[in-house]
Amino acid sequence: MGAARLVRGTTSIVVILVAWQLFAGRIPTSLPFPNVVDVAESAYDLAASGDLWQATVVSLQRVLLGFSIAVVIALPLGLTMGYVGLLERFLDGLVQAFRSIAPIAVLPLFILWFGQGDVAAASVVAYAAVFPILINTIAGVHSTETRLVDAARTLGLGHRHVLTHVVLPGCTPQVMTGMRLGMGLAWGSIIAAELAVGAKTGASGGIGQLMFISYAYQTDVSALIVYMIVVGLLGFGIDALFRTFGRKWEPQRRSSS
Amino acid sequence: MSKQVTLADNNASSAGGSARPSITSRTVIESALPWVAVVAFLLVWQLAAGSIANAALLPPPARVASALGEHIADGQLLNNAVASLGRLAMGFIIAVVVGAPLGVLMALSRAANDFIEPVVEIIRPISGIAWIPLALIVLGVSQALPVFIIAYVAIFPIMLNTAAACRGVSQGLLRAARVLGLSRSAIIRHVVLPAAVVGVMTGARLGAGGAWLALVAAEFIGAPDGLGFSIWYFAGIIQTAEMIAYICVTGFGGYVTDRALRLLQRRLTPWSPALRGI
Amino acid sequence: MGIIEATSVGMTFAATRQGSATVAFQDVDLDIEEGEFLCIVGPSGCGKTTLLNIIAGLERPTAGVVSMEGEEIEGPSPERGMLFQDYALFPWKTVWDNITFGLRYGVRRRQYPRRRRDEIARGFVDLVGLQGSEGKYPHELSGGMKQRCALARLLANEPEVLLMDEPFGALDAQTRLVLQDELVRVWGAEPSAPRRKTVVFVTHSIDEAVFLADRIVVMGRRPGRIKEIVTVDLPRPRGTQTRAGSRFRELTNLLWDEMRDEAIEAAR
Ligand SMILES: Nc1ncnc2c1ncn2[C@@H]1O[C@H](COP(=O)(O)OP(=O)(O)OP(=O)(O)O)[C@@H](O)[C@H]1O
Ligand SMILES: [Mg+2]
Repeated sequence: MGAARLVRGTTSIVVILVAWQLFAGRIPTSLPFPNVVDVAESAYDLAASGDLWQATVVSLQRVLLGFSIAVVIALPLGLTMGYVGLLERFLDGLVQAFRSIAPIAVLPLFILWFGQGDVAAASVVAYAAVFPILINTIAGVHSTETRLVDAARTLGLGHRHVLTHVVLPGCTPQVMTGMRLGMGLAWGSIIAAELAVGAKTGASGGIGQLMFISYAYQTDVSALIVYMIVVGLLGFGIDALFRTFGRKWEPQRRSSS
Repeated sequence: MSKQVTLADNNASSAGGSARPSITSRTVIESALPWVAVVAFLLVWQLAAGSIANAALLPPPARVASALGEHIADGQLLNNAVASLGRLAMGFIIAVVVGAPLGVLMALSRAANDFIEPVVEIIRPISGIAWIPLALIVLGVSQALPVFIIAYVAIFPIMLNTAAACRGVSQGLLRAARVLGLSRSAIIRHVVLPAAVVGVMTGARLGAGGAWLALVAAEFIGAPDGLGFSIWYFAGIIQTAEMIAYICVTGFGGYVTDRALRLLQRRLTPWSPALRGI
Repeated sequence: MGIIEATSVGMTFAATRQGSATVAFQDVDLDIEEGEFLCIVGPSGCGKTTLLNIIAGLERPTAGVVSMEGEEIEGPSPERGMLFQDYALFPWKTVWDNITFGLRYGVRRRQYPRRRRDEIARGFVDLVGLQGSEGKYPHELSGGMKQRCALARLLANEPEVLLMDEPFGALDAQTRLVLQDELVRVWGAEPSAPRRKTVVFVTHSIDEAVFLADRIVVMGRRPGRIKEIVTVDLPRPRGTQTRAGSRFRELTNLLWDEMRDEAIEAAR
């Protein structure tokens, strides 16, 4: 079974690469469309020069900063909202309203307030990540078993300790899911933000901006495809990290009690 | 749920004792609560705008409302909204038409799954937004660009959820259908396809948020009109009130999309597990 | 005057979107003596769990007052510990961490230094016979071991009153008998307390009630209320020979008739 799978998977990937190599020249674009070999060469050159790494680090830093802000806001807020029903009702309208707005839509506002640098970019990331984390945390709190909360209360725990020692560990799987979803959106948003800012002035760095530059100024399509691959690899890596973490939390809570 | 019930009950009884508020007035208060927060938010906004006193940085809510009114009145907003929603709908339709059959195929045939899955797993991590510059080169600034990006973003959740839902049809159900004398094609039609619809709807709802994100980003850079284009346009000429008005409209659009998909899901698949707890 | 006193207590659950208001029970008057073993029996839905939750302080009654040592019960307290039917062990904590949970994070956390806490917990691990399983997670335990762990957790917190809601309901008959014997032993011979604790024990099983109790409260339905209180005059210490005795048979028959009448009436 494993062997057949491998063969089939490799076949379809090879077929796609060969087709790309053969038909790249026929794609009707204003610029010559690169084939596989062009892209591979370009990847080699870019890996040797430092620009790509530097831009990647800039983007990752922004994501990390914005994501941390989102966690610091969403986790305590989500726990409290899930635990205190009235607070959840109270904030429900605002949460629904703001989460309906695509994060990238508020980018111009953040640029207006914070300038074109890291702060605006990180704010967009935070905005993108905050709602998945918040909503999944609230759902997680709702799904922690009432019995466990009751048990802790009869053992003499106050509300604060119930939150940190029962509710929080109880909803960790959902929190991890929320973080994973939030990180996915965050990564998409940072690229969008850097692309858009690049479209405006071209002075803020980041891998999204490199993509914009290679499209707009250098018209270097093979570099552009390399950047896309880097975006994909990093997205995959980040997601894999969260999945491994998520699994780490699972085994002890397989059965409920 | 009942954690909050306990808390709320404690509050109510310690505050009111025997004179606890009647059920109806309590539910009225509860349903009014979110609006209190919204009004409070608008008040804070108004106060902040008053103290900043610079409409370019932060216009007061009333300015945004009147900008919104103007754009509704002269039809511009409608044109832009129709342009954006049309692209969204188009992209989604393409995603369903391509993604759903592929998903069913992946669930039914191990070989098909083995051929398709690795390719999907390699391409999928490249976010739709990262395709925008390349799409610009191939397609140019056009209708097709946002449609392509939306279709790309929506197709993966639809395809994978469809496959998962079809695979999730239990052995028990399949056996029951066979015992009842259904042929293989009848089983696919009456047992597997209903499950596929559940998967399509779940995937569509999951993909909607990302699709809006991609739509706005694509319109920032690569579209001649639309809601995202308008936000970016008014940001460029620093007409902040108009810009915020359009941001609000995208939010409304996102909300309506979610509601509409939910409604559709309830209509098409009233038995869907995803509907539980909504 | 008893350690726990309930005076014309009633509980009505407010109407929800799903249904109309439910009267769980009404007019419950009950005096629970210090050190007594009180069992509550009654048909499903007569409000046994609700009454126990109210005594624990997890819920507030809509009528009447429940007090402990003359003070109205307003919330949960480590004075009144609870044993749950579904054990309610924290799945992310080991047996040891479950047992020390209340001592570490509850209001008792400042009462003892760490070494003393560990001593207490060790004592109860030995008492319930969980030596060697301290590092296991709840999902690695059998039902009986889970309930032993929950019992040790409860006792380690040193409550005055033990509230037990069908604690052995989910166990097989044999484990159940063993744990009944152990509960009686633990109740009569606790290392840390010279006197007996007060126990309020909800059960569906008449045999269990008669074997364990000093007094049995029989509750009825529609609306929930106390129908009768039966004093169990079987001598202690009780053991296997108790179950074989004729007085045991008499009492169980008496209670069984009560319950049957109640069930027939409720079904009418
Ligand atoms: N949170 C609640 N909201 C509404 N009604 C409730 C709630 N909890 C219990 N009830 C109702 O109150 C009544 C008593 O319930 P309770 O759980 O106390 O019964 P019980 O005697 O413990 O039953 P069982 O023997 O089945 O455990 C039932 O009719 C139940 O439906
Ligand atoms: Mg009960």
